[in-house]
Amino acid sequence: MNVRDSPIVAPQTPLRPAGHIVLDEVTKDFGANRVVDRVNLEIERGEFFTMLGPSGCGKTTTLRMISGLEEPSSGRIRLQGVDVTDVPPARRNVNMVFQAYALFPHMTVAENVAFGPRLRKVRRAEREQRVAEAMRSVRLEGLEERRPGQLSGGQQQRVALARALVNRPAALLLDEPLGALDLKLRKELQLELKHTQLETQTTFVYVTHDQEEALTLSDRVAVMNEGAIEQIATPRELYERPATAFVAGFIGVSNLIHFRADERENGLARMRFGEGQQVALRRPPSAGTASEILVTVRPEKIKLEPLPEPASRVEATVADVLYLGSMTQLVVELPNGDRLTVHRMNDAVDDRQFAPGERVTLYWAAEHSFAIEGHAPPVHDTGS
Amino acid sequence: MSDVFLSRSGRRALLGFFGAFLIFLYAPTLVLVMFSLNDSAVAGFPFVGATLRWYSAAVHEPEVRKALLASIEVGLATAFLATGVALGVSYALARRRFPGRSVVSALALLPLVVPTVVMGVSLLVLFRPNGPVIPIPLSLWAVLIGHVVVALPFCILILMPRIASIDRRLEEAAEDLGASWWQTFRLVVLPLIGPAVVSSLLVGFVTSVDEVVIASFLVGDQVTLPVYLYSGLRFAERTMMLVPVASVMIVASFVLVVAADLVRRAGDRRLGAA
Ligand SMILES: Nc1ncnc2c1ncn2[C@@H]1O[C@H](COP(=O)(O)OP(=O)(O)OP(=O)(O)O)[C@@H](O)[C@H]1O
Ligand SMILES: [Mg+2]
Repeated sequence: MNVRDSPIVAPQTPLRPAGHIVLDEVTKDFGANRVVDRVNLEIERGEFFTMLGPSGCGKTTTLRMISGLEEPSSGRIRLQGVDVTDVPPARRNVNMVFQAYALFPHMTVAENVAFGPRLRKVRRAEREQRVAEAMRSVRLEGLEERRPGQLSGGQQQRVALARALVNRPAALLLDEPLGALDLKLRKELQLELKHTQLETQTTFVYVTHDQEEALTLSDRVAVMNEGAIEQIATPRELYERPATAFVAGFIGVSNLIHFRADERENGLARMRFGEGQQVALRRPPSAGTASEILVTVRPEKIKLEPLPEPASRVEATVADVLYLGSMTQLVVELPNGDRLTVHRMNDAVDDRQFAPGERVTLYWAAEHSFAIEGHAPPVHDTGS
Repeated sequence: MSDVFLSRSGRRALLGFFGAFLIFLYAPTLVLVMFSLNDSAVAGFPFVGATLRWYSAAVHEPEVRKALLASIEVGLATAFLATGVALGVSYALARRRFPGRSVVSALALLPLVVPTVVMGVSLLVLFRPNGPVIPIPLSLWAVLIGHVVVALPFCILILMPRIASIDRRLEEAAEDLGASWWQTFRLVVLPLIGPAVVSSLLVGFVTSVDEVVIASFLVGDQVTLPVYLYSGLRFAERTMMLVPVASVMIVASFVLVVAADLVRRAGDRRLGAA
């Protein structure tokens, strides 16, 4: 080999490491109905990525467009750097785990799992070995000869997982895979799923409307609302720093304060509530001081005892008390009429009791107030 | 057992009705089989003695054998052709949205309500030997085409509900796992509607073997069995030979129906409790 044959130009690598799965302005219309609205996503290799949102927000449709079962009305989809927008599902290196599992009822468990390798003409010996491996990874050994109709819901779910994993896809697309199971089994299988994901180092794109599930399992979460993505962030970021009123409301309890900056200094904005009372906000948006914005604070960050350096200090009236075992949930009303939820651990020796109508003083740090976008009324997640 | 609460006399009346119904349904058949074994030159009472000579006569009559063979050939061809076409039409009707879908559906089912005489005449005009329309000579081929048209709606009515009842996501799952459309059809759809396909084949076969009107319009030199039977009635000396043939046809259909039902049950069992 001649020295001069060595490449002068670097092999074609993208300038920026492109995402494993990229959605670029992906939109889906069903008739006049826009179901997915200009979605942009970059999912990394090996990531556990979750799409979270209320029923009907377009999660399944987005997932089906990644799998190829649905065609975008506009926008592009790239898998491993290749534009697959026009590639049929059979030739995309991703596999779907359907919500109702969609196992083939006329085949045994082993035949179900072997379906993909068989079509891809994997040689018999290797096929059998891969099926056995997949069965082992989801702990289904011994059930090879059963039919799906003879399995429990949890077992069927695992067969669906094995049937997809056996193909060693670049990514696994899971549409509420635990949605049909009872709570206890769901918790159990959540852990198993996460374990399987880490073990196989497969990219998981996971769809759920269960915020707790999303926060527990995911590396990153995209919160969707009415076809559009509201925020993409790590679970911690999503919870601690919701970007929009919708996210604040969907992830946990929404605590919104209508905030107008009365004074600003050293990057701190304050809204005054009379003598010695104020809500403080670190890093306020630079927009016009007079305009009203929404500020959120998480219920467990609000204390009823003085803090060393309480930036926010507000007197409020207790409206509602709910005993929840390990903690007590209070709903309090601020002088301006906004209502906040406060979580108070029941960890003191002499637990203070509260009654509606009682006056309390709330304290929290400036860092725990966040300005959020949008003035949409918060949506309360009543589910799960 | 008794889902409906009946008084004793009510139950007795129901039983009597059921008995009368069975007699009405099966007495002619039994009588026919009986006469086929009767050692008498006319099909009727009294019962003289048992004999197989009419069977032997029928078997040794080349015309009967040729007609039987022709019927089986046309029947099998009708069964497979009608079922094949019905599979395609049913799949399209059950799964695809396309313009004119309801028109196709109506046209495919139309032969159900067109009298077979009308159909026979129109096909005869169409296939007329010296006619300009379609150069198909009057023959078993022409009969086959007529029988496929007649059997098609029955096959569609059997197959379409079964295809429509398959969870669409099974097909999507197959596609997602790398199956082409044809592989999905062969590996997922077909096994799931297998029992219905058997029923469709059977109905296609029976429809053809049974059919006399269209066949009598379109047969050429070689007649089918029903046409042979029908024309044979005009000759007294042939009539006794037709009785055993008819008996065999009845018993054979009975066996076929039972066999098809067993296949269907085995298929359902195979799918387990799903
Ligand atoms: N084939 C279709 N034709 C017309 N509308 C559709 C179709 N599929 C989905 N939709 C609509 O698109 C919207 C989004 O549906 P999608 O299934 O993506 O929601 P989702 O977020 O998965 O909801 P869920 O949590 O209930 O599963 C819904 O309003 C739904 O009615
Ligand atoms: Mg969905």
